[in-house]
Amino acid sequence: MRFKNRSDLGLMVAVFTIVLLVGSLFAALVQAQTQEPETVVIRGRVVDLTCAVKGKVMTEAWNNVGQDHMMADGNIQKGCAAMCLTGGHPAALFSDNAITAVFACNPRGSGVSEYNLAKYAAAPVELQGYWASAGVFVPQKVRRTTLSVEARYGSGGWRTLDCAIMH
Amino acid sequence: MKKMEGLFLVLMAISLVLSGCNRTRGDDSSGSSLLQTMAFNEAILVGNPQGHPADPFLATSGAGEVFVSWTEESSGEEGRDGFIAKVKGGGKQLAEIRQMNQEPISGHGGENLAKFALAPDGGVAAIWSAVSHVHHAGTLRAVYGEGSGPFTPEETLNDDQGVTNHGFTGIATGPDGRIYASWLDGRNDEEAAEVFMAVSEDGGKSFGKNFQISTFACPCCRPTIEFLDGGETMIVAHRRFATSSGYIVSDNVRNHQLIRSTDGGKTFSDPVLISDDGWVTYGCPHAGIALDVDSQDMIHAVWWTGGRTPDEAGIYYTYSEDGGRSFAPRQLIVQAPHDTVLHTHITVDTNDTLYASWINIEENRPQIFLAHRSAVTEQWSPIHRVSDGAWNTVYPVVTVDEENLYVAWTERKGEDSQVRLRTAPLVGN
Repeated sequence: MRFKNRSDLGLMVAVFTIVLLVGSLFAALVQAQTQEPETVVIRGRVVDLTCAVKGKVMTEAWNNVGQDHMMADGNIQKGCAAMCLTGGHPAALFSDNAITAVFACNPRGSGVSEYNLAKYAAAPVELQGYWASAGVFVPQKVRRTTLSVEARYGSGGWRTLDCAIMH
Repeated sequence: MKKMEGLFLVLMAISLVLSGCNRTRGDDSSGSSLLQTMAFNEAILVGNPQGHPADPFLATSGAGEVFVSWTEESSGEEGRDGFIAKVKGGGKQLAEIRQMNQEPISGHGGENLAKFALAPDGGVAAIWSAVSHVHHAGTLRAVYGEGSGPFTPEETLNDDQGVTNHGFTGIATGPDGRIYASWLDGRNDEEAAEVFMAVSEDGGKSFGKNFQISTFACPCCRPTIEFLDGGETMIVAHRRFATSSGYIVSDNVRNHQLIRSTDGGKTFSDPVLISDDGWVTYGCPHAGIALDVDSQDMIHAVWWTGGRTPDEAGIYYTYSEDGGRSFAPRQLIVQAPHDTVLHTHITVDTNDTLYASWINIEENRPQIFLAHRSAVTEQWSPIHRVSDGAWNTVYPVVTVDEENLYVAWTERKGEDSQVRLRTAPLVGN
């Protein structure tokens, strides 16, 4: 096979490269979809991302990572974290004085339990799940850091979360 | 003659040794409770093993008879059945086993286990949470069994008819024969439990109107009722809760506090802090405080706390010598994990020796431990492990009669459970 000129050769190489690249990306995607993501446990405090960041901007400190939050007018809104998370605000994990994960969803609990992520607002928890991408975590199970002895040595105290059941 | 001298020297030596032994025993007897170890009998299994028994409760009648209650998987589709029996033969056998319920009992058990009190006439009043299909909501049921006869059908103890949280009970018989039931109640604010009470004037056959005796209660920590001054004073202890729902402040500190009534529960004092542990937690820790009162009206209390820092976590003891108006600084009995909520139960014998049982973690398994405190030396005995370590063991309960200490607990392995009961002669007996 002979090429009429160099530009034909370049075009051929470029097409070949793109085909290879797309192919490898597709293969990676298929592999990513078929492989089980690595399940990890992360620890921290469940916070309302919006309130936490607003509070940081307003006060230059992480003052809105508890249950009660300071409003723009300086008033304190009692139970703000639970209220906002119940309302469907984005959720995040706070630990070591930083937002360490943004949750891919703010799920309701599944199964017979009425537990959902909002029930753990401002509470220290352990979350089982996987990293969807840098900083974005898909929570699958949650439990409080402090557990009754029956829960810790029985069921383990984990509650299932399901991103398919969102607010 | 030399033989006589030799015999004399041998006798002298034996005499000296024996006198030394006697002196040692005499010294020990002054602190006998400190050094005397408990000699436990072999444990017996309580209930039908096929029913996976759980959640025992113990009480001793005024006549000195020991009763044990427990639950088993219900013969129906859901919940559990409740049973009660007399403990005979110094804890070696059970007699007069009776079923207490007709409707299923909630299977949650644990801190919310079915409990009973014994009336002076031998009657048994029992209370428990009924099965509920609404999360964190349910009714309290009460039954009465006369002598060794059958139990009455259940009646609802809470009089609000509401679908909200009623549970985590305490029940006790006053010296006047009235039976007092107390529980955590969410009728006024389902996010923040209050302590409610009802009184039976007829030895447990029926209970009167419900009334609130305290607010700001930790929502899953049982209240405990005891009596002083021959029944003139009633004390109720519960774990304080601070919720952030706007109900009260949001510090989430879970200290135990005590309230007193000198008018049969009509009014109560302001709460007195039992110990400023400063333990902060979220959710429902399921850990009330264990209280008992000795013959000198000294209030004893033993509890677990997670502490302000992990190294403070442990099983603690304190006492009050002024009827619960103030408490001595807490004393650490033993350190424990800070992130696993543990349970305690205590009883006092007629010599005012205090017996405390609790769960702690040993070899990565919850086990039952026990120690006693002498009223004479005010010292704690060495700690004795009561369970054998083969299963996970939870929720110990204790009582005494004139001769023995009785300890019962639940053991769990996977889905299986069983109840064990052990006895030991009281120290000094």
